[in-house]
Amino acid sequence: MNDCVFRLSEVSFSYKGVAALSGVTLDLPRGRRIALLGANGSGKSTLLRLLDGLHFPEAGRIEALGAPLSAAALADEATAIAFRRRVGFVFQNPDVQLFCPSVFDELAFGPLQLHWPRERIRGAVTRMLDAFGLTALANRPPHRLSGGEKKRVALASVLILDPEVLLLDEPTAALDPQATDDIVTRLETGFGAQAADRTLIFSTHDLDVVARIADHVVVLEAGRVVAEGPTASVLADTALLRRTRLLPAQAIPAVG
Amino acid sequence: MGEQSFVHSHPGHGETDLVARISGGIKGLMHHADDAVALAQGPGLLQGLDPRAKVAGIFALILAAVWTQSLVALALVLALAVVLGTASGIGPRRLARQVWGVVAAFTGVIALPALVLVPGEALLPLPFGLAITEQGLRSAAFLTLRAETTATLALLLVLSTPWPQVLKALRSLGVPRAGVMILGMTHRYIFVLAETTLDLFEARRSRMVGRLDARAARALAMGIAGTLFERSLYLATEVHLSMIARGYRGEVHLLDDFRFRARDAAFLLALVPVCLALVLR
Repeated sequence: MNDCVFRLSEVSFSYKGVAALSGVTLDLPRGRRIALLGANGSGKSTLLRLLDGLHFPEAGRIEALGAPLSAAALADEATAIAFRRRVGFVFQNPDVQLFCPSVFDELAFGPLQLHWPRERIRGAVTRMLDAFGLTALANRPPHRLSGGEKKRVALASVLILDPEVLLLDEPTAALDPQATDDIVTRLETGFGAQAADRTLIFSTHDLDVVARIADHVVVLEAGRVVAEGPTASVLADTALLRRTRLLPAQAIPAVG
Repeated sequence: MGEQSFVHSHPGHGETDLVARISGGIKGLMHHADDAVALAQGPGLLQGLDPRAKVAGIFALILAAVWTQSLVALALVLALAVVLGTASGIGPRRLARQVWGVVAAFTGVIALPALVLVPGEALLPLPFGLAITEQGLRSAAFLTLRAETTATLALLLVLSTPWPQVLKALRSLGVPRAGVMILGMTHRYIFVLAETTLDLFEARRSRMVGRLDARAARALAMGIAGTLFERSLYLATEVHLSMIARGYRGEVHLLDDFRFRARDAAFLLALVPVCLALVLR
C-alpha cells in the first residue's frame, strides 16, 4: 500500500514491563475513517499515542506521513511543528486537554504554539466557536463545563488546526446519548467532508459508533492486531466480536 | 451559602463529621468560584476597567501600603479599597466575611504576642510582670492593618476581573510566560483535583454505614490525600502530553486583546498621587 498516513512495522511498547502492544504491523491508509476496535486494555490508546509521537516504540518502527516518526525526528523544531500541524489528537479525558483559563484561549492555544498570525487566530477561533455552538461559552473556564461541552471544546481545539489526520481516543466515552450523537454527527459530516484525503483514526469499543463513522476497522486484542477489514465485514463477524469481548458472551434476548 | 463560608453541612450528618465537612468545603469552593465569576462579569467601576490598568493600579497600591510608615495612611488606603469595592458591587459585608475576619484570625496569632513582647512604654499592666506597650500596640496594628489592606486590594482585583484576564494582564505587564502559565494551570487544576477529591470522599461515604469516629475519619482523609497525590502526578503527565500534542515546545504563547481607554488612564492617574503620598509620607 503506497498511500498510507502511518506504517507500523513490528511495533512493541510496554508500561513498566507490562506489554501494551506486541509486534504490531499495520498500514493505515490515507483518506479513510479507521476505527481501532478493542475491549478495555487491548492497546488502542497506546497505539494512538504512538501514532501521535507522544510515546515511542521500544521495538519496531513507525513511519508517519512518509517520514520516520521517532524522538530524534521530533526533537527538530521544524519537523515537530510540521508534524503537529498535520496530525491532531483528541484525548479521551477532556480534563487533561483543557488546561487554558477560558474556552476562547483553549481554541487559540494550538494555533499560537504553531505561530499562526494573531488576526488569523482570532478569526479561526470565532468561526470554530460558532460552528461548535460554543460562542456563549467563550469566556467560561473549561472546568465549569458539562462533559459533553468539554468534549466539544476538546474536539474544536484540535480541529481548528485543520489537521490532515485526526486521532481520537474514545471520542464518545462517558457521554449521554445526545452528546454522543452530537460528536458522531460532527465527525460524520464535519471532518473530512470537504477533503477526501483527510484521515480519521479513532479508538472505541462502541459498535454503534463504529458502524456510523468508520469505513475500515482494525481489531485489537491484548496488544495485537487480530483482524482488519471493511467495517461491514468486521461487524458481521460475531464470533470475532465475542472472542474479543466486544459483544456479550451470550446473546441478550430482545425485550418484549 | 454563597461567599459566607466554604463549609457546608451535610444533611443527616453532624458538623463534627470530618469527612462530611471536607466534602462540604469542596462544594463550597465550587459555589464560591461560580459566584466570583458572576461578580467579575457583572457591572461595576472596577469591572469596567482594562485589566492591565487594574492589575498595575492595585499592585501599585499594595506596594505603597507595604511601604508606608503611617497608620492613618494605611487606614485611608483601606477606606479607598472599600469605596472602590462598593462601587464595584463588592460591599463591606462581603469584604468582612471573605477577608477581614480570616486575615484578623491569622495575623492575630502573630500580632497578639507583639503587644507584650515588643519593648517600650507600658500602656496597660498585665499579670506576671507583663504589659501591653505602646510600641507593641503600634507594631500589632501595623501588621494587622497592612495584611487587611493588601488582602482587601487583592480580593478586589480577583473579584472584579475574570481570572483569564488577570493572567493575560500579568503577561502584558511583563510577568514571564512560565510564571503566568503555572498560575493559570494551578488555578485550573485546583478545581479538577477538588472534583476528584470530592468524588473520592463521596465514593467512600457511599460505602460506609454509620459515622466514622474521629480517628477513622482522619485515617480516611490521609488515605485519600495519598491517592490524590498519585493522581495529580498522573494528571500532570497527561496534561503535558496533551500540550505537546498541540505543538507546545516549552514556551507558551498567549493572545492579548485588551483595549486601553481614557477611563483606564484616569484610574491610573488618580492613583499616582495616592501612592506618592503613601510612599513619601
